[in-house]
Amino acid sequence: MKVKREIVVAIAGQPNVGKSTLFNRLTGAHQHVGNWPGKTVERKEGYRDFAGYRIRFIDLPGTYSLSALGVEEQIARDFLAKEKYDVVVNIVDASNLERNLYLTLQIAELTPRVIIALNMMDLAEQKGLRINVEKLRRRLGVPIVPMIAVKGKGIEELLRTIIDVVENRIEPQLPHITYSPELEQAVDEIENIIRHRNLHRQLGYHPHWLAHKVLEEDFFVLQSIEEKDPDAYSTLTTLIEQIGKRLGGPPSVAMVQARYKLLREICAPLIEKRPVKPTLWERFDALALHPVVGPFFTLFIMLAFFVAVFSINTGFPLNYFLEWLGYPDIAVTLESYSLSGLLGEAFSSLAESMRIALADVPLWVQGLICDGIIAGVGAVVSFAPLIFLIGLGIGALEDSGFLARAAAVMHRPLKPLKIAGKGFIPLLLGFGCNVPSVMMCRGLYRECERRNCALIAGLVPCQARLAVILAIVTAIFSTPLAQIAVITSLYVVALLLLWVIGVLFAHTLFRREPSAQLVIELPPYRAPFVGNVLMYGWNLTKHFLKKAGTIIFLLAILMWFSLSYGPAGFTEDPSLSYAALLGHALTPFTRVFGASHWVLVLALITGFIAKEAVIETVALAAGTPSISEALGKLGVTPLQAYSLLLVVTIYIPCLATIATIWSETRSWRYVLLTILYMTGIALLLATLVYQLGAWLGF
Amino acid sequence: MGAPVIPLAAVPPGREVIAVAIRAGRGLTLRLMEMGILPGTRMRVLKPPPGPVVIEVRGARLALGWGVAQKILVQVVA
Ligand SMILES: Nc1nc2c(ncn2[C@@H]2O[C@H](COP(=O)(O)OP(=O)(O)O)[C@@H](O)[C@H]2O)c(=O)[nH]1
Repeated sequence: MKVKREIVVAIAGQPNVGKSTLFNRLTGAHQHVGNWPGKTVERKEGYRDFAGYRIRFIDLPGTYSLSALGVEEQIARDFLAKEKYDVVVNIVDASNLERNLYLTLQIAELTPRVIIALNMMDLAEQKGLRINVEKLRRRLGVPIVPMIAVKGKGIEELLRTIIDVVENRIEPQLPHITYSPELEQAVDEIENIIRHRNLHRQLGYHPHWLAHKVLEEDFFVLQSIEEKDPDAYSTLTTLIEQIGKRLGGPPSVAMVQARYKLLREICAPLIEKRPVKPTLWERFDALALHPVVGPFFTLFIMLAFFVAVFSINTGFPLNYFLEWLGYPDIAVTLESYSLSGLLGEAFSSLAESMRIALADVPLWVQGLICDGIIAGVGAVVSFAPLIFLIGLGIGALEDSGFLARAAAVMHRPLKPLKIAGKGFIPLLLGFGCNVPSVMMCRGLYRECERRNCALIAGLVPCQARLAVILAIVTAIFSTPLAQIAVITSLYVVALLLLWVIGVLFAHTLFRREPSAQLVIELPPYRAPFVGNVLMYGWNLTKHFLKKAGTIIFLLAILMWFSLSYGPAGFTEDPSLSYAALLGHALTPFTRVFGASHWVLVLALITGFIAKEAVIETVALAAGTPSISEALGKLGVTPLQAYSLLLVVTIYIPCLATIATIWSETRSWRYVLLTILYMTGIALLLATLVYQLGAWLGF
Repeated sequence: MGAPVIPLAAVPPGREVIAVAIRAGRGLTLRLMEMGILPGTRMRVLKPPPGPVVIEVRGARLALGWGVAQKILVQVVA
């Protein structure tokens, strides 16, 4: 079929109205996920060929309004005000009509070309609501397509309606809101000043719309006016103050009230409501949100989810549990058939067969391919299944309505960090792996929360660090009591640091930001929709492979180079490499925290690639596979071991995490800050402990 | 209409209230109003403190922090 023409359709809607479901239904696999330029907000785009058109869908962030309170709102309205598009599909939750149409009225201020996708018709029915769609259509003057997005109902009609509007067979005409005469007069006065000063051209908005926003004291609009034309800014702010005095309150309040008044007039006669009983699940909220039971319940669900995901991925912690129960064989089988076990196997046998196939080429080429490139690709790919599984889990928890409850109940402990309760999800994920944890920060409400969360996420001891801790602790400390005490103390130190540093950043880097207020919608509990969940996991994985993957790969090659080349050129002995040289050079300094052997320094350097490499390096360089023997050979005392563990737990997040922090924040400053503060604190703390311990005679 | 004006955080569960005023900063006030909590809006308290306050307003269910619920002044009507 020949494609006649490309058209662009923006999808706008409030959170939890089925926007992702609709987007997935419309675009299927033809979608692309990235970030909005310069923002940590996800941007989804996709297309669908229909009736000879290629319809390109842009998914705008889900927002309750277009007042620029946060980045999402700003992105959505700047798109609607400044970009070129043919139609806006405004998806509306039929079971919550009045509040959803609030956004519609705001969109109408920017463009008349709106189609309403009236979703969740089934849910409205369940809630005892009957909406007279035909009357609503006449009253609003725009096409309305009733839908049940999860079942795919209404998709065809929506596509046809889009074409009808594009081909001008339908001309949408949304109602204009008439504010009170005082407000209208104020808008006129402001618009005059705007036109006179040519502010609308400079800012690139429509003058009438801009006047409304100025009257509403829109933060972003006023800020950009102040930058462009300070004189006009002071004239306008004085004027608004006067208007406020005349009205007896801020104009923004009067405007929101006017919009809701109109909506009540429109909706009330069109909706019939019959009473329904609250469902069992709704009663369940009393438990999920209970101040004491709630957090435990939340932690329990998340823990169950983790154990499942990580057992599939690496066998851990289920393998330990099985061993403990006396089934070591099953534990080993589980480990080797776990996803990362299978992948690791695949990559090492690939490297081996390449080594044999490349027997005739120079050793450095062989090394580059087998230990550099294949290992680099392996490092990237080995994260993929974990990210995908976590994506599935989080997608399901989100779709079911569980995450909203978790965010509400976890709000208090994170308040001093100026992070909303939702931030607990990325942080908790960090216990498994810091990479998805940093990626999940994008789900937070404000830019400052996302950034603060990404900055501290690396402090959560991940699974790889736990592996190193376990190996060293069991090798050095003999009694179970000492082992448990050491492990617990490391976790406590790391988490305390996380909290303290988070509070510190909140009051320095983000001191201008107010603390997070808990205002969150609790969507009804429902069974997650498989299509959404799969798409969520897939998009997250794709995003990771593309964005962080390249950097991880390059850094892995770099590490290979520094470990395989030395002053004498290529070497197969790491102790002759540049990295070892660096280790030797640093040893006089690292002595202060007990790392008095260069192998330990080298291990810390390789630990940057992946934390578990610490163990490998120590074993390799000491020439024995047994960790306790290796550490004995290097003459490591318990005090030195403890201080080394402190460093391993806190210093520099691994290469993949660094790469992800960069790809999410797009800021080298944040990457550098993370590396510096973590390494600095780790070394300082380890030195203190080591020196104090030595002084006390340990 | 003589019911006393009290903060939303002090309303027992199951009661219907009418919002009278929001005593918060500009940003929070606007956010609450845009989510449908305006002076004159009727809502139902589903869960009181401790923990988040849950209300039903315009068909949606919202969880509010104690600090936020303290800033919304209401009159109990039923
Ligand atoms: N009952 C019902 N549920 C729906 C409908 N459309 C979407 N959902 C569900 O609503 C929830 C939120 O959907 P989602 O697309 O993630 O919403 P978004 O936050 O707007 O992107 C998911 O659990 C969907 O399965 C619908 O038409 N009827």
